Amino acid sequence: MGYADPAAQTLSGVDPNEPVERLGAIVLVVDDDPEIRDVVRWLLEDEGWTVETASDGRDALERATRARPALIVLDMGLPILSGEEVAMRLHDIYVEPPPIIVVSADGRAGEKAARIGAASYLHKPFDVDTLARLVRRTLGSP
Amino acid sequence: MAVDTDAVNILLVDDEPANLLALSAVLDGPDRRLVSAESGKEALRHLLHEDFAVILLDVHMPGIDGFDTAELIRGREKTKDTPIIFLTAETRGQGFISRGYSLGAVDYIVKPFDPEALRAKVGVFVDLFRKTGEVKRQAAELSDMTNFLNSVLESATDYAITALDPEGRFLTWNEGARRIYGYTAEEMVGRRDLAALHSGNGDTAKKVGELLRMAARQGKSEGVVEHVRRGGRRVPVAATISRREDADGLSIGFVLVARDITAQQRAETQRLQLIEEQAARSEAEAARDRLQQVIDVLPEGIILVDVHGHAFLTNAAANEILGQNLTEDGIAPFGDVGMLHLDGTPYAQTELPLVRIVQQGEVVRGEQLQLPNATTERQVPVLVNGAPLRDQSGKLHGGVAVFQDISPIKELERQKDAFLAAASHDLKNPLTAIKARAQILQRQAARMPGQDGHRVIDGLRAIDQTATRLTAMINELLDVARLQMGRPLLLDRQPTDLAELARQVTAELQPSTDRHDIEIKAPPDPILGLWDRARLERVVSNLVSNAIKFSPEGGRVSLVVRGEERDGEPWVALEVHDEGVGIPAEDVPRIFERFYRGSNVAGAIEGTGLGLAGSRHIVEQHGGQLLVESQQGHGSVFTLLLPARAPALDEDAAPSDAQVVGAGAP
Repeated sequence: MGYADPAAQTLSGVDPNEPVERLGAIVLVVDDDPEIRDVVRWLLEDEGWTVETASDGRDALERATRARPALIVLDMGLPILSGEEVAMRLHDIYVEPPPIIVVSADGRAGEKAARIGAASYLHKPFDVDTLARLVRRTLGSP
Repeated sequence: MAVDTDAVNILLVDDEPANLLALSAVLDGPDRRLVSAESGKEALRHLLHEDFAVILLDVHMPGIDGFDTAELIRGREKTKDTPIIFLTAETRGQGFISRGYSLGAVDYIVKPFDPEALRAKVGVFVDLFRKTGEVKRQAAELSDMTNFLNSVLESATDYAITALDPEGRFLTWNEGARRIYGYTAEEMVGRRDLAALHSGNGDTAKKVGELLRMAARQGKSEGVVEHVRRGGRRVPVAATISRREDADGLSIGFVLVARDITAQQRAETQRLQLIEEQAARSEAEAARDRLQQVIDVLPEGIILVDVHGHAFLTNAAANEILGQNLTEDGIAPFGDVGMLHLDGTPYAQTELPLVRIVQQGEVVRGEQLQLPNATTERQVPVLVNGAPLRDQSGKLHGGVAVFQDISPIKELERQKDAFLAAASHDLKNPLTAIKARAQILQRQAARMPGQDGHRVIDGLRAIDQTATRLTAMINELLDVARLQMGRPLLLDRQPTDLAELARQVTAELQPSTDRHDIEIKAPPDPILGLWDRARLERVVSNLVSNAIKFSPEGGRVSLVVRGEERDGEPWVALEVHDEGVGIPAEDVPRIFERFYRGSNVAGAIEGTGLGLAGSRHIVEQHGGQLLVESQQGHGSVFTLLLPARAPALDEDAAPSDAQVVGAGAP
């Protein structure tokens, strides 16, 4: 089927026979920098999550509307729609929007997270271990 | 017989037509009209209709004789004085003559008469009649004139017209005088003199005296004097005094004509007042015009309001910035045109700068806000200064606001901010990719067997650490750029425990020295505030590094963290004590300047001098203070003071519990 086993695309060698229900736990990674999308996808898939990516605010909103992600790793400095606008519109779409981890390069991730009610935040550059831990804390173990 | 209307009538009465004819012949003349009657009866008929200068009456007539006729003539009022000359042929004794005289005869003429004598006698009566008529006519004319003058005197009620004797006593007193002075003719005429109208007013008495003397000398004088009316009220009058003379030119007193000019004076006073007011007004308008021209030249908008907030003066710049003229009717007072704070929230009425200026006497300095332009409907950012207007006694009577369109400044700031944001984004994204990849590869390498894995891991860790150093440098560089571009730091405020932060910094720096003992005194409970954790870490790290660096002999470095209250507000303090070289007293005031280094360490101890300046900048952006106390040779104490109650974030959006987990850059 088109929906490939996520583990098969990683270098991690995670058990390919993982339970089917975890396939529903999609982490949406939004960043306009393809390098960052790629490296975060690598990390989170290595951690065992299903990852979708979006490169701008509108793309992110469309994906988040089409299938509810379990978590969004949301960069604030996005083209077309800013990360803050994406978060606000998610509030219009969902009674209880998916949790968000705010990522920002401008040094104000904490303030922005507080403003949009995000679960947590990261300054760029961040440690991948910290991101992995925050995702686990939010979604539980994969 | 020529008929002349002015001719005098003469009545000839005789029963003998021949006698009548003879009389007519003798008496006829151009100035007389002869009327003949042949009987007493006929004579009486003529007398009914006409006046006669004289009657020539024959005594002997059939029917009513001359005496009877004379008696009848005398019995009638109209004719009782008409002279009668009896004509008789004889004089029959004294009795006859006296009867005639008793009947009013003026003369007897005995027939046959001497024509010359008769003509002369009749001529006398004709002349007499003419003169009497003249006198009567003159008397009638005089009477008419007197009546006319009296009626003029009494009708001229606006004029007091009085005759005075040479001593100044009133001889006449007209209705006008009664109205103007309030006294009646009975009270004044023959009883009082001009002094009654002065009532002790010396100036008036003097003035009237002059007028009288001038009138006596020149015949007439005029002037305005202040008379006193009955009851004491003063009446200004225009007086004319004329000398009266008798037929021989001897003075018999004066005529005073006075007109009440109260109303005229009042009108004149009002007219003068009006002229003065107009002059003052046009003076004020001219001053205002000049002021308007001056302030129209100024590039700043200026609004002047009165105590009610009504704008009474604005300049061209104000009108242009606002897109309307606030002095026009129907505009809300105090410039309440829908001002917004810079963050877009509306001003409450009591917050308006002009309300604070006019109602609280506040002086407003450098307040930034947004004003809507009524024409373009765009919000214009402005910088407002203002002060109350006071009069000479210090009483507040309005306010002035001066404001400047700072759109270009705001646009420049926006461009700077956009540039800084882009620079941050563009520099940090590659760093993020580098660090993340290096870290993931370390994970992968850890799963590789043998020595190879370790070497790869070491290399990747070195890359990661280098990227971390680069990140710190870029962060500091961006802050310096902000400082130099005059832009405030965008603080990343988040709940931060200063005690925990101090412990972390201590733990990081202790390994860098074995000559120093870094100790920390902090309460067990967190010292919390909404602060920019990463930047405060930089500040504390900088202070502790300095303490180590500037005590080269080693020793103790103590950190003290405590909460304290200042002016009833919660603050926190973090002190860094060292036992190092200290700072010379003359350098203390300057150590927070950029690139400044103490005279005792420059060249001896490595450093750029940027650290303290940047640290103070960060602390001040937090609303705090960075202080120093030092004694050269005995060490220094740097004290970081921060308000614990930070400006609230948007509370609606703030997380309700402590779910926000910080993960600041290392």
